[in-house]
Amino acid sequence: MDGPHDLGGVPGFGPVRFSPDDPLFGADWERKVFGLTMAASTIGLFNRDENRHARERMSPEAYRSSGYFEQWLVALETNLTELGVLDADVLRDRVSDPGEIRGKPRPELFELFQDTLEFGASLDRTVAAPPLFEVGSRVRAVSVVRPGHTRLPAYVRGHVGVVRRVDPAFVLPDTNAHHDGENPEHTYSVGFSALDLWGKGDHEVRVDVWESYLEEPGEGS
Amino acid sequence: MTDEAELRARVKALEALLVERGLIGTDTVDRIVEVYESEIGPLLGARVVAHAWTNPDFKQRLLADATAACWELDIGGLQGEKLVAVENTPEVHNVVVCTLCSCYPWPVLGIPPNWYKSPEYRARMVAEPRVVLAEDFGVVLGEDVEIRVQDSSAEMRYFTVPQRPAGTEDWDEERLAGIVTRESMVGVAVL
Repeated sequence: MDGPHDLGGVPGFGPVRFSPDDPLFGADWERKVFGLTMAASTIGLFNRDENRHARERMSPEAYRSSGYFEQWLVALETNLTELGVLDADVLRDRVSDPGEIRGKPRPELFELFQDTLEFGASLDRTVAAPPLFEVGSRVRAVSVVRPGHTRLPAYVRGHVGVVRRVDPAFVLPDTNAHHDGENPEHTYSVGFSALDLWGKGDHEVRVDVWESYLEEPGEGS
Repeated sequence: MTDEAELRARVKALEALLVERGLIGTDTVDRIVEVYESEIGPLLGARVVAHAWTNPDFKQRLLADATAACWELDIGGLQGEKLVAVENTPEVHNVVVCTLCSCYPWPVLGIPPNWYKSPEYRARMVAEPRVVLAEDFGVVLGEDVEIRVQDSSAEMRYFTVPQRPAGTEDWDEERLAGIVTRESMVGVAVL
């Protein structure tokens, strides 16, 4: 979807505040948000694509004024209440008076996480059809994407690039985020020239895309 | 910005409810985070790079199939199920970004630092990498050096193999690993 997250080439941003010694987490609640998200995803409360989509659905004002882990927190609240894991009213009441956390350790869950950590949770799949494009193919990124989640950055839409690498087939985020099936497709690394994308620059931008994000470049291009 | 006290309360409420429903344990969140604080980080990627510098056959395998090559060193897994290593040379400089969120090769570099996740980096690196590298990271590349920006928009996770500095010919792998920084494996530093 077109959303506040799609930042490639968006004008108006100043210098990157680079600091090699920044801590990974600025505050303890950020640390907890990271751990909660990993825990919830380990036990399958939501998938990666719907987690991303929950962040992308924030209003542009809220997205831009929130720090990174606040965006993650909003996604957790959105998913856990929308998916019916937690009741929104119960959650609201608890926020106003969190109290103490009562429960017991569950070491077996940490072991489950360690398995995921080691073996990964790869979304690559086998598809019967061969890839439509090959290395060197000229391709155009589609101009119009379906509503909802997508991973085609706005800055390449409608532009022609060259396939640099053919990658494995992966679950399609556009449907997986909405529980409309995995629909795996071949993926590609496609190189676009900066001059074509931005009207200036001499670099190449390589964007990874699913096959249905691409079409034949058409006449005259 | 939301008030910190409110953020703390919202996070505590979520953890409390998930624990009390029995969905997670009281120990789950902290133990998961500790893994990323103490076990998984750029020291792993540095081992891979140092091994590639000292072992040409391994380097060849790494550039051809980084996922398999890293598994030779027992490195791989979550958020790096498919890894791609790109080599920086005197002719070509690669730099990695994720414009849509914060995709990053966790098994080799750990979880991403703040600057990598920042809107400034995500917006500007694809559009004006030469300027961002020079002004924000102090990396001035010659005009004849070709820049490739890798936007991690699908499932492949990228890291760069920086150029080995001159004068390190006699160094062993462990000493070499000690100079390979996180930034050099994202492509925002040269060694």
